Amino acid sequence: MSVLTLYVVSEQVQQSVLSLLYPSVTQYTHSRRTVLEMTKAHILLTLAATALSSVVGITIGMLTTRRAGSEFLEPVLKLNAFIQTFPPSAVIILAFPVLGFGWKPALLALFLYSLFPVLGNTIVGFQSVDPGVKDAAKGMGMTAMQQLMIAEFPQALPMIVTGIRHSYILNLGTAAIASVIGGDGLGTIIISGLTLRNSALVLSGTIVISLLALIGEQLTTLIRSKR
Amino acid sequence: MNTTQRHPVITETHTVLRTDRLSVLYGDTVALNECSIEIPAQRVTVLIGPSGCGKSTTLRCFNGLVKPTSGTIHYEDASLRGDNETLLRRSMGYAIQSVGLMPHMTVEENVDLVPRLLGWDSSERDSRVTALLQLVRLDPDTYRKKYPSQLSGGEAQRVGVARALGADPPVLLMDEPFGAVDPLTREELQDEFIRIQRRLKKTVIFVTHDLDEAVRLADYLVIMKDGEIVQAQTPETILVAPANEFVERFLGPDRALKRLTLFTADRCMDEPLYGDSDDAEAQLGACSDRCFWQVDSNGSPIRGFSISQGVLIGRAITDESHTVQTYASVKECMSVILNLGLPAVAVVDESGRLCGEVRFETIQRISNG
Repeated sequence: MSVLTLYVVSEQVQQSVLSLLYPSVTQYTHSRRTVLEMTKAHILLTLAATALSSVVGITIGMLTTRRAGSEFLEPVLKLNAFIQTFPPSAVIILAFPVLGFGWKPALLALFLYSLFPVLGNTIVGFQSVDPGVKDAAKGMGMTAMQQLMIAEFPQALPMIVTGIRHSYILNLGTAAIASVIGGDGLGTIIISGLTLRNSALVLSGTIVISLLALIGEQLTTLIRSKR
Repeated sequence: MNTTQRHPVITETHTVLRTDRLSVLYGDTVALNECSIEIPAQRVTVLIGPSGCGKSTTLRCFNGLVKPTSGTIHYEDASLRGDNETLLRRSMGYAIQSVGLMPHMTVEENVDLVPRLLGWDSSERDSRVTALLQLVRLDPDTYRKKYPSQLSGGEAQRVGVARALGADPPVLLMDEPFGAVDPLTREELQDEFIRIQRRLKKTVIFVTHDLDEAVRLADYLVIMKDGEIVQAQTPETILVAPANEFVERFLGPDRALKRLTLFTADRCMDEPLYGDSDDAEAQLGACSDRCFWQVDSNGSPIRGFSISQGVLIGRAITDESHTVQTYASVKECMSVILNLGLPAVAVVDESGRLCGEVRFETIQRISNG
């Protein structure tokens, strides 16, 4: 965490790290945006998309595993499997002609794409609750809401958290591509580097993304051990 | 000593639940076919039959987990709200084979689930949990904070029973609750059930496929086949007079032996002779049909003496398997008599004190009818 902050905030650090690896390159930082600004935008985009997809994914997951929503379960699962086969870049590229330029379409594309890991995991989580537990909960007089929240949800939670984690990692990487359609983020420096054939710039962006991913993993492990 | 077992007759008490031509159809499959049954208050009604006979279906109709296709259920007791499903279930304890404890909750949180649903305040719930755990003989301080994954099969089932009794419901529904444990634990749990039922006198509807268990626990035995009731009577009556060939076959060839499980030790025991070991020979005299028990300061028997072929013999009582509890079946008494080689078995109360003896000749007299 501290390593990341240090790197992101100080241009000096960026320069020293990158010059170690790429001594012959002339440019180590982006001419128009600082790594700090890009990181902030990137994190914002990632977290917003993850939060949205989590909320919607969990809600739909809960609804389709109820008896009332069970007829939607199969089509939802089929759609889930289908969307998951799309590579992230394709999602972003497809978003552009439909949704245009800027961070809003980027957010929408990210949200739709990362929805499905959460949704899929929520459904599996709820389906794997011990039927004896569900029967006992119903038989002892819990209302439908109580059965859901007291008996089933805590059981499904580990799978749901895993789904959210996947969504976060997915969004972290896909957000980089969002720069292609005008979304701000670390993609800007990466793509810049690719265009100018400057590996140092590419690496700069990649380092931050990787560190952000690591932090996400650490947080999830922390949450899991606390329960 | 009166050795004739008298079962509480059904008509002695009022009806708590009644079904009238209840039918349950799943498509073309008939799970229940026009069953009419009356459940007596404060008695243990056991539903038994081969797989698919509709016993579980009947039970699950009572608390609304299964909706009948036709027919009605009448809830005669005022405390059972037949109109509201959720409230009805909260007034009926429910214990199932897989127990279904919430794995993410402690034993304490599991047991006080129904009181919590009913809105009891926390101090009431606290003392209730303690009382219930003590009732099922799980030390509250040790078990309160444990998680279901840390419990053995028998312990989990006891917690399940405690949970079903949580809000002191008038009716208990139990669906093969002792089915998932090994035979030894199963017998222990049956003993516990008898002990608890004697104390609490709940109306219990119990489903099992184990005839020995049914005979042991039932006050009222209902035998079912293919969704219909074949015979519904006291176990004693059914064992002596099976209604048809199916019941006869179902009861098995050892009907006489099964009758022995109907009788409990306390209903056929005699006053025991006991004291210091020196008095043994003098007190027994020439009687070879009874024992003399040497007891310790607590009143617990530690050695049994009897006269066998004119000679005084003694057997040490070293552990629980050499004595029987008051609610043990006569079949168990028989087993200990054969094991120890004495003409009688010592009956002890819950604290281990000698309170009677069951003699072999008494058992013979009972089984001869």
